[in-house]
Amino acid sequence: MTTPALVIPPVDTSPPTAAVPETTNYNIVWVEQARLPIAKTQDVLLARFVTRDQATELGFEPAVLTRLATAISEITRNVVQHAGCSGIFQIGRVSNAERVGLRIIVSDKGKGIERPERFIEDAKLGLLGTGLPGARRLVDHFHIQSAPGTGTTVTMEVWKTEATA
Amino acid sequence: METEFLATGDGLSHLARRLANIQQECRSLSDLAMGQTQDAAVQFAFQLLKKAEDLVLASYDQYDHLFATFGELQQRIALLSKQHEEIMRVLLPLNFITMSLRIEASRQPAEAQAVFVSLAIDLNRTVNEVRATLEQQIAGFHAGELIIQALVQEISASIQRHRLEVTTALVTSRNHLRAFGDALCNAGAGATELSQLNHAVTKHIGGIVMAQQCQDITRQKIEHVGEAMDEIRNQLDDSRPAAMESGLGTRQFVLHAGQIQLEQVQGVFDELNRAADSVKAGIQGLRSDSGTASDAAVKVGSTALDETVANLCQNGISGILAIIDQAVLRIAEILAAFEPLQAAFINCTTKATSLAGDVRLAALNAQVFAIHAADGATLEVLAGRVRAVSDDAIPRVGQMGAELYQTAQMVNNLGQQLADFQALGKVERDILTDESVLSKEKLAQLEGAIPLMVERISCQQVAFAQSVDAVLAKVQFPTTVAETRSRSLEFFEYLVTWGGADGAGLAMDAAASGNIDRLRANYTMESERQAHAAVLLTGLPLVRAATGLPSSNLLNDVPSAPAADSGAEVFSAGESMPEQPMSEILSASTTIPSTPQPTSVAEEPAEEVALGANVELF
Repeated sequence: MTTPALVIPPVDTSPPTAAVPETTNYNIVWVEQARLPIAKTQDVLLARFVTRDQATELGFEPAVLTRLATAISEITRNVVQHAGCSGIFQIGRVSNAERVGLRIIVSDKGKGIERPERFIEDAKLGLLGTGLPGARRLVDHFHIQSAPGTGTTVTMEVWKTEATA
Repeated sequence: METEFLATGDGLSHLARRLANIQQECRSLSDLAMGQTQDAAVQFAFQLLKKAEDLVLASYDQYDHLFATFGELQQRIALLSKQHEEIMRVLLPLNFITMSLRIEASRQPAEAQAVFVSLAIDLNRTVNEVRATLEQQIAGFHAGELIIQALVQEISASIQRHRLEVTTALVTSRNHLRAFGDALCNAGAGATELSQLNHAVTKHIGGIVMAQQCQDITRQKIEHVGEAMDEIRNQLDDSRPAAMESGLGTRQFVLHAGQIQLEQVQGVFDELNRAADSVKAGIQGLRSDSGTASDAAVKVGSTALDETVANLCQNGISGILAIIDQAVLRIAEILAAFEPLQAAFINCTTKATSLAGDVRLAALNAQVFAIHAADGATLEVLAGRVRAVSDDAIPRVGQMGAELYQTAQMVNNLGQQLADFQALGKVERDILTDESVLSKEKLAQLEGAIPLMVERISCQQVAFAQSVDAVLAKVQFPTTVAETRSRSLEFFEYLVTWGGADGAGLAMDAAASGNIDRLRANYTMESERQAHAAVLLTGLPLVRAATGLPSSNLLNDVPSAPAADSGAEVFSAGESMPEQPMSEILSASTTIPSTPQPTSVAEEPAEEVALGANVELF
């Protein structure tokens, strides 16, 4: 039996509604067909797949693909396991004069966490690559916005030094 | 002594180099062990484990969905069976109706008889086709259901087993990875502790180097003072006859000046001894701390990684990947099992719809023929009954068709979902397999690198401790100082014999006393310390620049001795000082009267002040 091609279900492609901090002055193009609901474990795999796909198209190194996919896994898995409701995964291509990259936003309206910065500041947390600190170490830019009861939005970026055509 | 200083200095710089190497190794070990690099092996393995777990959990989700769909499918097939039975029951009267049609048709003319017999045959065929087709399809559904049921039961049993295996493998692998990570953290913490201890050792070395510098300066001064004493002695020997004639004052001044010189030299010796003690204590402290550091290195070594841990971690990941492989294969089996069932549902839906049309057509034909028959009242009634059966059967068949369509859609969706998951699972499995190979390499590298680094650090630490012992053994300052001290005492005894030939007291004139006081004031250990501090702060080159002299010649430039330059009074040969214990002479030197006393050397105070001033340079 032949394996059918993977079909990503079409979803809402409108830009994410969560407030996103602007770190640098660059253009962003949200990838159509890549706004995925995150509700179950398979969605984690799908988000990983889409991220790898986009990063491969931009010509990222295999090691970067692995790191990025791992970071996506960590964040989306958090939504599935801890948010208490479904979340949204969104990926966009970013570029400025010098380079190109990917920006990924994973947001939910779930339980949220108190003082999310402690996950970033405390190097002892997630020493074995778990959770937010593990993800933070794997990407170029990491930002988390969260408060109890209001949900969580994680923004991650990876950049490629040389711009690709 | 200079050789000894140089040897100690070499030893210290050797120690510093060794320490720097150890520190570098500690930093590398700490970095490696604490996983500060992005792709640290344990983090990578841990994340790989979690990704594999994602895939396993996602496959369980798929199975759960499959079980739920299968449950629904069973209900639908049961409903279809029921609907099939109802349709058969509705169509059952058609057999009797067609028989009645045949009987009634036999009363009609031959042409009409043929038409109605043909109609009856069509109706019978249609009913038989419906019955046969539906029974066949329903039987097919049941057969498919049984196959899938067997598969589902098998999957369910294997999932129970796999869940247990995966849970155990995950827990075990996590525990192994945690143990591995803890061992790494301990090794890293040990390396950090070792690094801190070695940092303390570095401070010791710094302190020793400072003491060495002080000692070296003092050593130079001692040597210069010694040279000055030799020169004084030579000049005194040359001028002894004249001095013996010139009177007691000059000899007394020389004696006092010698006393002061001796005091000063003794003070310098004390300083040198203290500095030597400081060096020795520093090196002993260094030895003690390096011993502690060695212990710490051993401690780091004792956290050496259990070589089976990495393999166990890797085996856990491999085990999970094998389960993922099975899951992907199972999904292929499920897809294969659902494929004929899916086709059967679609086929059955088409046929059921077609049969419903056939029954309706037969009923319409019967009605049309009945109207055109000459005596068709009975036929019309029969045709009406066919129509009624048809009207009853058609919505039921339609309902069953709709049910079949929905079931077919459900099976189709499940098939598509499973196919998607199979594709995704294959991609993930391939990636995870590659990553697993990479992880194995990383863990193996780490596993190999850390014990080697620990061993290197331990060896270096041991070598360092041995070097410290060697440097410590070379420190013989007190012996050397004692030898030099005896040389200065000997010089003073010579002065005593030179200056006190006629039993001279310690009285002298006011000018000589003033010169002695100025000499004493400028020629103190406080001045020495200030000079040392100035040298250490500004560096010897600055002193050289300030004086315009090379450091080794600084003291040589000092006027040989006050008495030598004064040359006013000469003692007669053969005169000697009375025998007096050295301690008394030294204690007497502290009771020099402050009142001015006439002396012949008062004529040349400038040279004496210059002596003090020059001494201050050091």
